[in-house]
Amino acid sequence: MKNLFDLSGKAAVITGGNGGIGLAIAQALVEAGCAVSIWGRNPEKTKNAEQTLRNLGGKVHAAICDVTDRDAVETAFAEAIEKFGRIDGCIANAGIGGYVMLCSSIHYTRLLYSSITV
Amino acid sequence: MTTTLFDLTGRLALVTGASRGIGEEVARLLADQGAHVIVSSRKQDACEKVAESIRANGGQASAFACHIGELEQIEAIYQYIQQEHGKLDILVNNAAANPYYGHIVDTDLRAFQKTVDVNIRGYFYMSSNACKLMQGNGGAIVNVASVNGVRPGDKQGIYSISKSAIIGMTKSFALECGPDNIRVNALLPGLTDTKFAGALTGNEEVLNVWLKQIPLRRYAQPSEMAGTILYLVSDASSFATGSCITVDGGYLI
Repeated sequence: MKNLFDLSGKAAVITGGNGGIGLAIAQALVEAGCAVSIWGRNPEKTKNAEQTLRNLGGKVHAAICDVTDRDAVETAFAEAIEKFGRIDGCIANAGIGGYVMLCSSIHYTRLLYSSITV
Repeated sequence: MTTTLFDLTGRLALVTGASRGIGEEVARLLADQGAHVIVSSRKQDACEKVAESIRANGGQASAFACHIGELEQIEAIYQYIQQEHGKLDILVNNAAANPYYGHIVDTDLRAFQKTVDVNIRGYFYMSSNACKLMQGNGGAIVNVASVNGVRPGDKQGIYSISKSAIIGMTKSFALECGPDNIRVNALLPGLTDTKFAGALTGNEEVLNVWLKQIPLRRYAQPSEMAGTILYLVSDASSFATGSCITVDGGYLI
């Protein structure tokens, strides 16, 4: 059977991959045979997500990474490439929301950076 | 490890314009994924040939000719489906007409009427009949529109207008049939290597004008449209309805 959606041998980064839509994407990619590098800010949530994906039989790399922090992004990419030897795709999923009217200037800056860094 | 999101085992799919080009590729791919495919186009022998080839590869397929520009032929194919299968899970509205290439003001009534009869009335009544069969079980319809429905093709006025109508039709059916769990989406192919697009791909001067506007600098093969249709008819797109997906090498950017 032709399998257009087979991702065996490929590797992908999923930012915000430790929960919600990001984790669901990571699960679907693992089910299609893809190695995944999930990034998130919350260590416990990221560890749990990593375990969930390993339980599916996936090749997983997990990084604690705030995508507004350029150094953290570069480190996480370097780790993922070292682990898998390649990166074929990146799902830029991490984002933050909230009522802009109520945002402090720091929050607003973070909102902008999370949209443009990756 | 394989995902089952695209598995169509046990589903019945009707693909129009399936004797060649994009329709044939779609029919073959849906059968590969386990669907029973009704291969339809205007000529029975051409349908039989594709259906037979699918069966020879271990798939399930039957052939039923239908000219979607003729209302009685639409009624006949749905009567056949009702009697033979009693249900329909998937419709791919792909058969289309493009009988006129020239300045819009010179469009003659016959070309106008044929384009409207096939591309608008045909798609519409194929969809409404399909929805009646899908009520209760749900289903998925994919309308093959065109990038010309968004940006008109030069000297393809009435064709482009009909493709705009198909985009509107997709959204209207999606809106009103959503409560019956019938999803209706559209694929907007860009320039594709088919007999249908031969007037464009076969003319070097015209082709070069097109290629300059396509970031990938090439036209598509029919097989490159099939994956998106599989996505739209399968559970992989279970929350997508009323959407129009362009597969055009970047032409509409």
